[in-house]
Amino acid sequence: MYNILIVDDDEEICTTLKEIFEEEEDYQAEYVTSGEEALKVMNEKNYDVVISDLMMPKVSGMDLLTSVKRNQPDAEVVMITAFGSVENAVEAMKKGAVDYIEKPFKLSDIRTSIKRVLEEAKFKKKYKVMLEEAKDEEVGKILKNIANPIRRNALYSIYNQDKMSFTSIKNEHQISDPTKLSFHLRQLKSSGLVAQDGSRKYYVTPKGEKIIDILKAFGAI
Amino acid sequence: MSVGKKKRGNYIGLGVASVGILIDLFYFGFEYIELGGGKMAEHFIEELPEHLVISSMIILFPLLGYILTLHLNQRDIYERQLEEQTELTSGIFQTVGVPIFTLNRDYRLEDMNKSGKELFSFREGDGQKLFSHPQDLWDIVDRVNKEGTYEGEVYLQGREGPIPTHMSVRSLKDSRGGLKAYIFAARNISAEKEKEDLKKRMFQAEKLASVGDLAGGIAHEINNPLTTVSLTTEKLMEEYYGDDRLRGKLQKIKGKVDRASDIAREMLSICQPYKQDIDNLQLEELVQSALDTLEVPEGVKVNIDVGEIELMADEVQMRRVLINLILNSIQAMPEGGELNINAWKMDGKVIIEIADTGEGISREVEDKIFDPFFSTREVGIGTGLGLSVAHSIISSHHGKIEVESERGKGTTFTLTLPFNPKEKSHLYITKT
Repeated sequence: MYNILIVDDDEEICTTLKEIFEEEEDYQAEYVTSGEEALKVMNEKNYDVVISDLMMPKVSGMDLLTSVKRNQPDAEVVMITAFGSVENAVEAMKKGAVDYIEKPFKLSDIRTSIKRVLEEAKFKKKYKVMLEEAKDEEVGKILKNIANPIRRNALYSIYNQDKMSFTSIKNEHQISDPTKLSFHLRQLKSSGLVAQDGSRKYYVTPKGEKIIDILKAFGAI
Repeated sequence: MSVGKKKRGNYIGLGVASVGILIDLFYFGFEYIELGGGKMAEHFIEELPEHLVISSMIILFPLLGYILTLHLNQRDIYERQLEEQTELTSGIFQTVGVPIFTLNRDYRLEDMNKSGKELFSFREGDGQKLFSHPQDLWDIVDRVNKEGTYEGEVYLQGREGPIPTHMSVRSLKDSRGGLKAYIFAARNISAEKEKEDLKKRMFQAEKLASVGDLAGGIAHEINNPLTTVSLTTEKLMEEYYGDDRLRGKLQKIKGKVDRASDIAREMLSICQPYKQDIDNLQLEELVQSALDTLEVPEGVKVNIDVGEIELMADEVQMRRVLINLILNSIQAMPEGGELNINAWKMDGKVIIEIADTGEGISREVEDKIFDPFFSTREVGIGTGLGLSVAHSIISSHHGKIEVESERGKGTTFTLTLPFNPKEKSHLYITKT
C-alpha cells in the first residue's frame, strides 16, 4: 500500500485527486489544504508520495519540498504548477522533486506521473542498501540518478540504438513536455552516463555502459 | 579671368573700328601718292559714290566695333554669371547633407554627391541596384513621367544593408523638352525610423504588460476550477464508458474545457515575470522540436536553413515563440504553400526569419498583430494570444520581433536576438 499526501489550497482539486487515487487498489490518499497542515501531518506519518501545489500562501510548495527532503527523504515529491511557471518546477526538480505536472492537467498526466514516481520509489527501496552502502559517493549519486524511470529508460534506449537525437528519444518515450526530457537528459549528461557528439546526438559513455551492465545484472532493466 | 574676357571684347571692338580707319588710310594714301594733292579733290568728285562708300567706313566700322564690344561684353557677363551659378549649384550639390544622385535616360548612374558616396558603395552602372526593392525604381519613374515629381519613403541599398530614405524625385529636361535625366534626393531617415520604432515597441511592451498582468491574474484564478472541471469530466467519461450519448455530451464539455485551458495557459504566458533559464541552444534542434509538436498539413512544404547556429536563450520560452510563429504561418496558408525558416548571425546577433507564402496581412493588421486577443481568424481558431506571447518572450530576451507582409505574397516574422541576452544592448527594451 502506498501512502499519498495531496497538498493544495483548492479543496476541490484535493477531493478530485483523492477520488482518482483511491480507485487504485494499492493507493491510500489523504489531503490537506495548506503547507502548514502538510508539515504537521508529516510529523505524524510517513508518506511515499507528496503531491503539492507550488503556489500556496505562507508555506509554499518549495518550502514544503525542502522540509520533506530533510525530514522524510524517502518520500517522493511531485509538484503541481501553473503553466508558465515551469522554470520554478525545474528549480524544484533540481532541489529534489521527482516530477511536476502543469495545471490545468489531464487525468492521464497525473496517473502517468504517479506511476513513474512509484516505480522510482520502488527502485530506490529495492536498492536501498546498495544506495546507502555505496562507499563511493559518486556511485551513490549515479544510482540515485538512474532511479528515475525516464532517465533509466532513456539511457537504455540510447544504449540499444547506439546514437539517438533529442527528438527521437522524445518520440520513443512519448514525452510531450520537451522541458522535462531536456532536464532528465542533462542529469544523465552531468553524471557522465551519456554524452553528445558533434551532431548533438546522444550516446552512452563507457561509464554509462558499466552502469547498464550492473542494472542488467540486478534485473533492473 | 573675367577681367581678361572683358578686355577681349574691348580689343575686338577696337580692332574692328581700326579696320575701317586703316582701309580709308590705305585707300586715300595710295590715291594721294599716285595723283598728288591737286588732283585728289577732282578725282574724289569724279568717282563720288565709290569714295563716299569708302569714306563711310570711317564711321561704320567704329560703330560696328562699338556694337561688337557691347555684345561681346554682355555675353561675357552672362557666361560669368552662368559660371558662378554652376559653381554655386555644384557647391550645394556636393556639400548638402542629403544624398543626391542622377540617373540618365537608361537609368544608369550619372552623378552622385559626397553624402551619397558616403552612404552607398554603389558607384556606376544600373541604377536599379541602388534600390533594396528594384521594383521601387520603376514605380517612381512611372510616377515622375506622369506627374513630374515623386515624394515617398523608399529603401536604398546602403553599405551595410537597406536604408530607409525619404525620397524626392524629379525629371530633368533638355532644351528641346526631351527627358535628360532623373534627379533623386534621398534623405536618410534611419534615425527617425529607429526612434519611431522604439517608441512603438515601448508602447507595445507597456500595453502588453498592463493587459498581461490583468490576464495573468484572471488566468491564475480560473486555473483551479478548470482543473477540477477537466478531471471530473474525464472521470465521468471513464465511468460512463458504455453510454455513447452521455459520453458525447461529456466530450463536448471536455473540448470546451481544453480550449479554456489553452487560453488560460497563453494568458499566463504573457504575464509571467519571465524567469529565464538561459542555456546554450542549438537552433536547428529547437526548430525541429517545435515542428514536432505541430501538425504540419500536407500542402505545406517546410524549408529549414538555420545552419549550425547556437544561441543563449531559455529553451522552453524560445520553443514556445517558434511554435506560435510557425503555427501562425501554417494557419495563414489554408491552401498550402511554403514555410521558410532561415537564420544567420550578424554583429553578435542572431536573426531568425520565419516566412510563409500565405495570404499576407494589411498595414492596419500589422500594427495590431502583437496585441493580446487580436485575431483575424474565425472565432474559435487560436486564442489571439500566440503572437503577444512571442512578443513578450522576445522582449524579455532583449530582442525584437518584426513583421513584414505583402498582400497575396506572404508574411515574414523576423526575430533579432542578442547572442547572449545577459549582455544587454541599449537598442533592446526590457519588460519591467
